[in-house]
Amino acid sequence: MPRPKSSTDRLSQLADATEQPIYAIDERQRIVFINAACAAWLGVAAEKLLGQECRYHSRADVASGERITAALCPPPHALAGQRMTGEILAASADPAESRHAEFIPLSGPDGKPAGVMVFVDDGVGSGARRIGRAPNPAEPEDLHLRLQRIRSRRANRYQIDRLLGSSPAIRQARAQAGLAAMSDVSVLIIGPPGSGRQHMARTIHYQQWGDRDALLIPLACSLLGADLLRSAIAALGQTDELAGAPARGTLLLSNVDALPVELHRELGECLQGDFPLRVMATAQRRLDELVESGRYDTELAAVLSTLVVDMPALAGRIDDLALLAQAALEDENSAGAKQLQGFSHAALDRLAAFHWPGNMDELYQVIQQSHRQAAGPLIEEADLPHRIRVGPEGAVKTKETTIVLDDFLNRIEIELIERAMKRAKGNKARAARLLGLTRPRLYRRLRQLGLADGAPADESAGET
Amino acid sequence: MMTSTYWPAADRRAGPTRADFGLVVYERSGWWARRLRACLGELIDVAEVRSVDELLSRLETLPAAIVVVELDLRALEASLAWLEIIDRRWPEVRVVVVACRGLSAYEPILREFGVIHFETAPRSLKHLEQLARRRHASLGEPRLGLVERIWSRLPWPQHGHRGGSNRPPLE
Repeated sequence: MPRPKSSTDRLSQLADATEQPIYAIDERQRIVFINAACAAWLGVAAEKLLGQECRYHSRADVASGERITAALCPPPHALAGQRMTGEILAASADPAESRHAEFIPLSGPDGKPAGVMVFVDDGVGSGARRIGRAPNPAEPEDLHLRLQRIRSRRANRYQIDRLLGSSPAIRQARAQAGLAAMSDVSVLIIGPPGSGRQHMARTIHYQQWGDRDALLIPLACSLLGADLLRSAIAALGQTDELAGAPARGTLLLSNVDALPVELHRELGECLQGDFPLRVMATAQRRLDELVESGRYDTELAAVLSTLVVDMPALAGRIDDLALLAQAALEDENSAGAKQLQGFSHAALDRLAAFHWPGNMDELYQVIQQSHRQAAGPLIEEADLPHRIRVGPEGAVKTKETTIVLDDFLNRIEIELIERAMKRAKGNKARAARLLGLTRPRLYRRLRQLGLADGAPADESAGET
Repeated sequence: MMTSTYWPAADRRAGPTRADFGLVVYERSGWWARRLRACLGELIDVAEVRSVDELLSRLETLPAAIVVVELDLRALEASLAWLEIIDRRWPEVRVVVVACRGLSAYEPILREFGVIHFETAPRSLKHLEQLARRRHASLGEPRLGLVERIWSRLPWPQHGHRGGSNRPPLE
């Protein structure tokens, strides 16, 4: 007499007969079951996936097998026992396809999470979509996918070899950045405004983390003030989980030399403890110099400056300017339909002769403006902003302004009357009071300036 | 590499000036704009927008603005896209989010996308007002010509021709 088939076999047969992709992972996040429909959807034999661990990340720099299993990993909340819906990505498909999925946590006898069953939409209805279509904004998983894509793009954008130039100063900065990216120590990035300090911080962060789940949280020290900084840093320091993922990444304190003095000691103590994030900071001045002059806390300066990266002023690396200008121009080309080839010699000479007080930011601003101005194919000297063409000496001489007094005064009067009327919500009596006029005089001026016929009958709509 | 933007009022100096600054409030009801205008209107232009397109268009003329955006969970994911655009295209723009407590879990992500402050219930103007005043104080006066100088001193800037701006109307 044949032995009756076990319920496990029957369940397996049933699951294999359905068109709906189903898989399960155990408490150690290993794939323990995957049905035929799921294997077919993924385009991978089930045997290759069984026993593989899935980890919740979206790194692109791993083997394709790991990318596939990572994409199958349920969100951390489901692993922790919360039933939820979300998106699952078939990373092996080309293009990648995501489908709606339901995550059903399984509990062990002790009530602890024992695994997750995942039921993926069969793709027949509206559940399947190619990546790139607008996702459902209410789903946290959509957010996670978008975040993954954005981080991946950023990881490509912020690379050390994109810190262009061959001058000794930028070569040294690149070397320092490489060193910083290989460690977890605090980094202080010093440079003048506009020199690309934030860009450098992002480069180090993305060089260190790639597109993995790691946050980069900037805090603007000069803008937030003591109260907001204190609460933000305290909140970050007290949590071991950020937005459903382990708290890891970088806290970037911008303009830390402008940090309110009353926070120095407190921040120093906070960052020396078990602060979960790496700390980077930007500053215009060296902190040790501020310490010497008694304007900065010694301990905080030491905590922040384990490794110092110097961002050079643009004027100090003019040899790089042609390359940087070309890179900026090609950025502009990539942003729109207008395509320019480069710069005339005369234009480059003008750019090289300028003193660039606003550094890289100003260079990009100038190239953006010149790109708009130029007819092409080259940016000519005449396309450059006036201050670049005339240089710092010429810029001091301001162009003579001429006006036609009567017209100008009329424009001012019209503007003031219109503003007063708006402020008075059309109430002419109130507008007249705001302008210090009598009501009849306001009517007369309205008529004379062609703003209204000024007849008292007209004001009934506005009068209250 | 980095991106920057053209500061219309900064032709003779590097970096944004007060002429490039204003508050741009992106919300549905007008609640925040009304109150911010009441406490800051005499000092700072407060503009209201109702769509992302309108917001981005406004930033063309105010590239050092503080954007106050009212966010809910449904708008969260879409907001990452335009926050990224602002971050790349207008590096001097600062974004503040006002949201319900339910969105607190996403505060770190929003900060990663350039949000400098996250205000949750109870609704309080105090922090937004402080941020706006501090930002205004940190920016230099633009080097204006005679016409712009006179115009910049006219009263009631929030009712100005150019949508809440105290600049002369275009010829």
